[in-house]
Amino acid sequence: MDAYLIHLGILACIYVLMTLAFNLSVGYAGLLNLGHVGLVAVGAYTSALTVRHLDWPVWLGIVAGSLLAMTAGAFLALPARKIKGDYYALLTLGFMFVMSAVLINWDSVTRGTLGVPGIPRPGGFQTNVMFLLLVVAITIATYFVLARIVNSPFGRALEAVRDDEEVAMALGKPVFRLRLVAMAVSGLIAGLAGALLAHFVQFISPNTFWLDQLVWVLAGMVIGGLASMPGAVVGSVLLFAISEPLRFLPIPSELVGPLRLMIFMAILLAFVLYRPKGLMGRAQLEG
Amino acid sequence: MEAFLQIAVNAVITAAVYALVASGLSFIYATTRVFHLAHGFVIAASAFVFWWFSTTGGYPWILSGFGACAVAVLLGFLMNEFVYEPLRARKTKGLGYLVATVALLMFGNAAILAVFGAQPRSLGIQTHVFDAAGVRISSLQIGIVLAAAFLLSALAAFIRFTRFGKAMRATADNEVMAEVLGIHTRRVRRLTFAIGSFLGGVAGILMALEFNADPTMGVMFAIKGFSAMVLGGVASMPGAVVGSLALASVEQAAVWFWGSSWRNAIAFVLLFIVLLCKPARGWKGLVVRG
Repeated sequence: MDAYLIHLGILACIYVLMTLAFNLSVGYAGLLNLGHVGLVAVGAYTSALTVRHLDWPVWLGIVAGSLLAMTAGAFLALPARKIKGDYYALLTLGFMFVMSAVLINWDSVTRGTLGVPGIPRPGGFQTNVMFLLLVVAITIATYFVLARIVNSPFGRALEAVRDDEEVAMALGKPVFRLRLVAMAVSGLIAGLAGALLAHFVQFISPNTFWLDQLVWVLAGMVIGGLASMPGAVVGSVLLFAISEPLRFLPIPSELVGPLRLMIFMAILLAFVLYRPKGLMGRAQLEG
Repeated sequence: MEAFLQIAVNAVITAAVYALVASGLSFIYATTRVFHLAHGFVIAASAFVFWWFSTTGGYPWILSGFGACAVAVLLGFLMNEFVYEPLRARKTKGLGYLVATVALLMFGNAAILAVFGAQPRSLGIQTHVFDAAGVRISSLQIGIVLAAAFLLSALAAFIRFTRFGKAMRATADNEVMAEVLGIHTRRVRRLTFAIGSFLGGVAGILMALEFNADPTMGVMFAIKGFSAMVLGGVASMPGAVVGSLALASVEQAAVWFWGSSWRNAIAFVLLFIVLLCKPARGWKGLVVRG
């Protein structure tokens, strides 16, 4: 049971990281980046492949994954200059679809739908206990760094851009640069979470980074509340707490996944309908 | 040349189904300003209900078709009544609708997986295949194109010539003004969702007949329909048709030359190019709304 709880703790921390990154782009920067899971995939695959094929040290792989995801995140900020709201959301969703198509079709490198097995753990963190300590440390550090960023003048300017782009522009805020930096940081953290996931589970496939994961992160963020750091943590941990007992119900195992998704989506819908600010949110879902 | 003709024929068949989806989406967007991605759920549900009625239930196709369309219309109606209308009453803006519709789409996707399982369900129909100068087309495919053409013309006539169509155009044009003039816009939206979902239901049935009922088709059709709609011009019926033709042609050509595994990325690449290269002021799609 303890081993199981440790396993859960690690996954929960990784999901918290993803949700924190997502909250930075959606909650603070006001860009509904539905390609978020694509960024996570960039981090995970880069790290896994450089370590497996090029024999890079694991740490270097994780750094490379995070940096490439950061670049991809900055790239996703480019269309935001011209394309707004629903269109931006669907365009970034397209990034996830294209990423997935690349992962499936570039099979000489990614092994396609078979996935990448046997991804090593970082040295010294072979056991789950040590790995838990590692991800907890990383999550806490990320939390405080992010809290520092969003409470800085930079963060306030970012929120001003989210609330009213034209007013912020009239006040001389560099709207595009603010969003670019926010998306880059969001990508960096998403890539880090992806790399950690790859090295923890030790197996990734295109299925690991698909719509189910996206809506999981989306639900966690909306339930916790937009533009709220503690909200992102509470939301994603809450979803974990709801989803895990499902495994122990007397239902066929192939039903667990769909059932979990249905429950998550019902909760998400209820929040959108009755409490659009989420549990601790400070911003509305607008665009 | 033969390859070109075959691609063109395949593209028209695919475009027929896409056009049904895209014009449903476009029609709904015009009157309600909702990007109704959960339309994909309506389509998939209709396909599965049709499959279930005609195999397990053993009903004739006509009855199964009616059943599937009834389910589709009911789903669209319920989603409007219990999700979009409350959101509208609270004056929610864009992204609230988008998150709600994504939640509905994924909920429906999971529900179909839970009820029908993950494997695609085929009706296994054998139809006569015509072979004209090396270009192959089946009688079913001809039926699909004719059915789509008939329904879209009927819809266009309905919007153009009936009283209710006029009320719809008024609501699409200016909702507040329409209300002031005594149009019951809520009823208009209700009917809009019913008609749009009926078109989606037919698209689902046609897909189940031609290919199979597949749990992933909901998301795929939401994406394809949206892309076709944006390509052709939002809230325009001819736009939806032209956009569908454009999307289907590029897709079929890509499938022919590179294989089908890239198929789902094509729509987005096309969308990306169009959205980024559009003139800064007012891209209305390939067809300007008239």
